[in-house]
Amino acid sequence: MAETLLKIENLKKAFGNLEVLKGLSTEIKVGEVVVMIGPSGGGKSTFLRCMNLLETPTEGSILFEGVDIVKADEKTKNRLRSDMGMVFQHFNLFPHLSILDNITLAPRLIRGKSRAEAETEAMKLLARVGLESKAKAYPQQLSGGQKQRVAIVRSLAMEPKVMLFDEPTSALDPEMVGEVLDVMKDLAKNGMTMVVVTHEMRFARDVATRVLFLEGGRITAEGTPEEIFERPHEGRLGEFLGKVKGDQLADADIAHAILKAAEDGVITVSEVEEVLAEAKRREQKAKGGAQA
Amino acid sequence: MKAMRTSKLLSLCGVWTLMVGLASAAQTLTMATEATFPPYEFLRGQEVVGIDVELSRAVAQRLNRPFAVENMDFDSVIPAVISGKAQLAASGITVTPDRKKNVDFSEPYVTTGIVAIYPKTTPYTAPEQLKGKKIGVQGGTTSDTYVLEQLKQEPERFKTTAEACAAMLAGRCAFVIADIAPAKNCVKGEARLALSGFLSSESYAIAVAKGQPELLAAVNATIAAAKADGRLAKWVDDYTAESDKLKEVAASSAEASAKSGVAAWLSAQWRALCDDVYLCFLKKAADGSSRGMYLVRGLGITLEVALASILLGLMLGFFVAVIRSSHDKYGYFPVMNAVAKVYLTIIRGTPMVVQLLITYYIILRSVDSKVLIAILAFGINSGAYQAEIMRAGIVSIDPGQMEAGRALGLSYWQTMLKIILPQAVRNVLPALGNEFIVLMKDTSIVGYIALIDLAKGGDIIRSQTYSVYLPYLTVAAIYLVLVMSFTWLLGRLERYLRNTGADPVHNDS
Repeated sequence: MAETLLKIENLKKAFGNLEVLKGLSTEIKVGEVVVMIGPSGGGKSTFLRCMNLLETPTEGSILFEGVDIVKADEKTKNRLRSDMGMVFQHFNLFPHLSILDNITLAPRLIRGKSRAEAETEAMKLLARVGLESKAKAYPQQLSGGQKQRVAIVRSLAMEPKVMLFDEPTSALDPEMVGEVLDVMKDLAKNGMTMVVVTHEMRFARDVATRVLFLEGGRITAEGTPEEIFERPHEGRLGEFLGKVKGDQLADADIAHAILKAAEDGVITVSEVEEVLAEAKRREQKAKGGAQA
Repeated sequence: MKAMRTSKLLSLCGVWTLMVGLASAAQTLTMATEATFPPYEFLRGQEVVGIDVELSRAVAQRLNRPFAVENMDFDSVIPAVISGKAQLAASGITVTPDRKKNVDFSEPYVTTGIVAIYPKTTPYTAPEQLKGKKIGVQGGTTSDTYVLEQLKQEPERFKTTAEACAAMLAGRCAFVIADIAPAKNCVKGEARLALSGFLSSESYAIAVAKGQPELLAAVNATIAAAKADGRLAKWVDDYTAESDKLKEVAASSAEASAKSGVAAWLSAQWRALCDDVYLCFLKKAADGSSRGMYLVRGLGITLEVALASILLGLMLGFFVAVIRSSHDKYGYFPVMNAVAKVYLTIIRGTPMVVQLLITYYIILRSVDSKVLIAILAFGINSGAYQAEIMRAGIVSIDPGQMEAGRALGLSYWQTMLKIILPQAVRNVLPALGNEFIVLMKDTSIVGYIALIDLAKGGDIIRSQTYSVYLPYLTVAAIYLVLVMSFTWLLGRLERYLRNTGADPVHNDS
């Protein structure tokens, strides 16, 4: 049995009178990939943001390696945060710094690394996500997928014990989703402990060791991907899964597959464009039909 | 019993007087004056000289105290002795009942009077002629009061009599009323002007703060001695002669009107300009430096005060902006936020000149360096404006930037300094640059605290040469070049930041 990294007990969070989290408890063990799914407004992101105290819980406790981080002093909180990587939906790269400086800022400031040491490590990580050529570029010169890969590298540079992902692919164009998910899959394969909020059901099914279904500020279903996805469900979970299966996520999967094929040389770029144009025509037709 | 008490009290008073006496013996005796009133006080190079200076120096010698002269606006001379910045006010000050309420006056050392200066084209014959006409005076002098009270009208106020005369020659007023000494000075060598007889006579005396009988007695004794042994008469002769020499009219200007033809006129104008340039900037004064040095040194002071206060303002502005925006967003620093709000309200709610004078006369009374006082006053003032500009910059940064910094383990202040502020500055650089330009030009009011900056330097040249156009236009041109260079530098900085970083509008990075 792997050791427990995060232990969350009876976590509650309210914004004014609005109670967003209504008492959540779970444990995250070293090496686990926990994926949180559920309808919008269900509390997934808030739950994730509580784990590294971007939001201060109203009640309950969060034990990180046995230390209650909610009650910790400011200095301890900063230290604990540096051990937890976080990737945001909108990347939040620092636009005034080069890619290399984005990655090396925290290791130098907090870990006390020399510039040379931090840069060598950053280049290694950039190579791992295929972006070593962008080291001197600025965030505005990168595509969305590249920005998100850099954001992941920026967190990894702190050598975190756990990585938190807050809808990392939701702000991306469909053709860029795959490159980010590939990096995340690679991380999971290498044993990184991860907590992921996402709508990418395929990722959840393929990569997660455990899936949490959050709804109305509570965890209403929990289990292995097989338990969540392969068995028929009643109520909200069944409804939710039925909806997302036929939705844009399927499209994203198809786009990803086509691009992969193009990269591997199975089909040519012009063929891809043809397929995409055809897909668009069908989509418009479908929309027109729905309206009529 | 009662007698004993009184005697004890008396002896205490004695000890106290003795202590005050001992303390003051070592202190410098400072004379406050405006050195634009020859022959009583005027600048010989950098040094203030004149009849009043000799007299005040004699007082210091009598008291065996070191002597210093403080050159300032005439309006500040009496406030300076009241506040204790100076002990003697000697600036050709006429005794009036109003002034007597605030300070004690010595016996008069000179009796003089005010006269009318008139252009020879419209001769002056009787006082009735003055009524209803535009009358030029040096503001704050007895001539000013005379026009107000005797003629019952508002005078045209100028900073000096010479300026008033120049304005009269330019047709901006009909007559000028002035004290006899500066009036004589203006008419000397200016063939187009003449003097009337006394309109009224008055006496000059030295003013000291109230409640200083020993100092007043020493001043009176000095005046009596100087009158008796003929020193006073000699000073009047010597300094009148020296100040007469100061005034040099470009000889060519008279010739110019005699010749005809455009070419002759142009060449005469050119020669007049060259003579003016020589007189105003190049001609060596008694101490071997030219008048142009007033502008060079003044420019140094202007740059020193402007740059140092911009930096001080930047630091203050950053600090206050971070406090204010952190409080508004996260509720941090409630006490410091309240202090910052009071600071912003007071500084932005009162005029810069008033803040400068309050700093000089009240808050930093004991500070000697006027440059330091100016830097503090302007820096604190500018800090308030820069704070609000910076706050706008901080608020404009996407909250995700703070979250990303904190999530990496950076503290609040580390994130502020390394991530938020650099982006905020870039967003508000044009507004900040504007504030710097305003501040640079605002420093031209430091003349109020007797600091000779660029503007005041030009003013001194004008007061010595009676040439109005060249000194002021030159000063204006120097300010313009300063501001243009600064704008250019800021433009470079903006371009540099734009080329290296992201488009600040798109925070979605």
